[in-house]
Amino acid sequence: MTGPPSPVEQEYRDLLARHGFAHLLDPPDPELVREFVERLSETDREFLGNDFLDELRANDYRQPYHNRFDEAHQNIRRALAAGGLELPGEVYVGEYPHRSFNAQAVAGRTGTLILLNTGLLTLLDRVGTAIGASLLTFGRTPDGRITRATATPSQEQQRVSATTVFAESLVTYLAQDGVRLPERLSTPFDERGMFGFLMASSAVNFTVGHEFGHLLAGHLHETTGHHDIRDWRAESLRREHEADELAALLLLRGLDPSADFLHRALAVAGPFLFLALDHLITRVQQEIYDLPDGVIERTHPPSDERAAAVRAVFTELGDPNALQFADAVVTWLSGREDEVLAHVRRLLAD
Amino acid sequence: MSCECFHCVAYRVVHNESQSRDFILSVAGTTCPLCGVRTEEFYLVADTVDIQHVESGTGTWNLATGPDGGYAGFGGKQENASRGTSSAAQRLRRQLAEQADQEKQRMCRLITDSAQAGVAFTVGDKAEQDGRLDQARRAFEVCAGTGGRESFQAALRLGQLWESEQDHRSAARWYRQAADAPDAELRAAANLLLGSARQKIGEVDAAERAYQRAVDCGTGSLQALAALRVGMSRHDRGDRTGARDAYERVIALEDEVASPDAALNLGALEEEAGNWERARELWDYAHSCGALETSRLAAFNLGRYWAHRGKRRRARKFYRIAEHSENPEIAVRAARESR
Repeated sequence: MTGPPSPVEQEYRDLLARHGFAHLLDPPDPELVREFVERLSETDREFLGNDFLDELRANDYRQPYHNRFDEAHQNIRRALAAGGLELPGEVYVGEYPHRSFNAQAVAGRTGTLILLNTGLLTLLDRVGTAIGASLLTFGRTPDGRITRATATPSQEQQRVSATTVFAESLVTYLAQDGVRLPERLSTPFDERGMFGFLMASSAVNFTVGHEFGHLLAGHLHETTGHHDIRDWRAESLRREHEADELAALLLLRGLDPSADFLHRALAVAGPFLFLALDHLITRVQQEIYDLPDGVIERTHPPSDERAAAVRAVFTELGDPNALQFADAVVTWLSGREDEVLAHVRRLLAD
Repeated sequence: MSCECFHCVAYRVVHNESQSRDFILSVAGTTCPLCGVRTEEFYLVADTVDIQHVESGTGTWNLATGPDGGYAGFGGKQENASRGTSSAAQRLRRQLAEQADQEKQRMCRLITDSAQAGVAFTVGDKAEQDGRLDQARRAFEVCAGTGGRESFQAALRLGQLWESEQDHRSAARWYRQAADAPDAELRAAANLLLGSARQKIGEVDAAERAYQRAVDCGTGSLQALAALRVGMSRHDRGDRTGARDAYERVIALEDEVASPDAALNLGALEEEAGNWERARELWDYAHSCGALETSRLAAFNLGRYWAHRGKRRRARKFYRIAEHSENPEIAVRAARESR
């Protein structure tokens, strides 16, 4: 993107500078990129090819800042256009190290800033990859019998490592100390890698869509007028559900009707991946701060309640059959919850 | 698939038993997206291969335990989930509801088109076995109306059902539909039954034409049986030459049921023509190779032959066999002659 930044983007840049986070817009350090390239597995290198790897090594990375949320932002814009909806003003989507929120929409002077927590993309990417790496594909014999692929030793290792990567990603995301960056699982460059990537992308779309939901529902400019903390909380939870509903509606509206079933199924799995992580984040927060249940006053409804409400939207207005990946992902995470938390405890004890 | 209209009214991939249960419970009381009829009862339809694998534990469907622990509520129902009142939410909901309705209609139509005939036939078959004949007729009529491969089979079954009610006209109407089947054997069976129904309502010429069509497209026993009926029809009309040709053709086919019957009848024609020896040969064959009743009738004729030849003892031996005929007149006559 060239040219001067829009007023709302400039406001975002000013916000980062004012709070000492201007470095988030810095281009990547060529040295770090080269280190990353050298750490790639043989399989990944083979897939990417020497020409591309040489290009990565030689690049001086002086190109303008690339906003990693542009794609999600554009996806929401497309859904809005498809629905014939107009925004009440300019919007900019960018990262911001909230530390305590996954994302937040803020009414600014020149427009709305949708700020996603630093590290959220990395967390979703890591977890998406871990899930992808844990998948085993299956096929059918001519008589219709199911044949499950046998895991190769490398796949088995990745399945075992998935829990570790998962736990480390969560702790890193919450601690945001930038030191204990988890080792990334090697992305399988096949359908398993695509599953993880598409689900993570859809989770980002849902997160961004949720903040757009607040904007569309007019929450950013409303005053609650509730003096009682219980009324305030009830109103807050209602708004969060409304934002979730709008995010789910936008996600459905943005689906390409001609897309194949797999893409549609993975697109609706994203919100559940995000909400399942949200559930784990709460559990890990309790572990980190050694807090009993209910002590952290949450602004959002419980993740399972949110997931069930989103599921109701998808079931009523989308294709209920497309929820099978979402169900599989939640079941997979459910089966690993205790294991991941045990690993988190070990990490915190070290 | 609705029991009322035999349309697909809902379809679902289920992940575990609670989803199966919820889905099943959600279908009753809905309206059919294709015809608007309220779904009171419905059939659960699954691919045969999948059912086999689910039963044997080699499939994948319905095996998941579902999320538990802190995730247990993720798959929960939010029937009373609050709906956003913003104009954006309402607008998107309207658009998506329309899209979802269209998609559901499209899918239900596709599934109905591909599964209706098979399901209706299976339902009709089961209902008939269980003696629920009205339900069987309704299901077979739906199947027969699809125009698919099973529709001709269903038409044949409908004909048989009406025939069992002695409504030969209705039976003939369905047999006529079944007689257009692309499958030659089914076509032959339908024409054979059509001929029989036509005959029962006195349409003798039409009956013979139907039998002849069955001869032309049938093979094996069907063809032999149809040819026998052609012969009998000609015989009844007094066309002895035509009947003789047909019977001889049946005998040449060496069918274990039809050929002895043809021999029995041809023997009668030979007797009529004064060819007693030829008649005896044919009756001997019918007596030794025919089904029980054919054998008894042939025995009666052989009794008459030997009596005609003055061999009373030998004749009585055959009359004693014929005494057991299901035909009361023959049985009485045989009993009298055997004394």
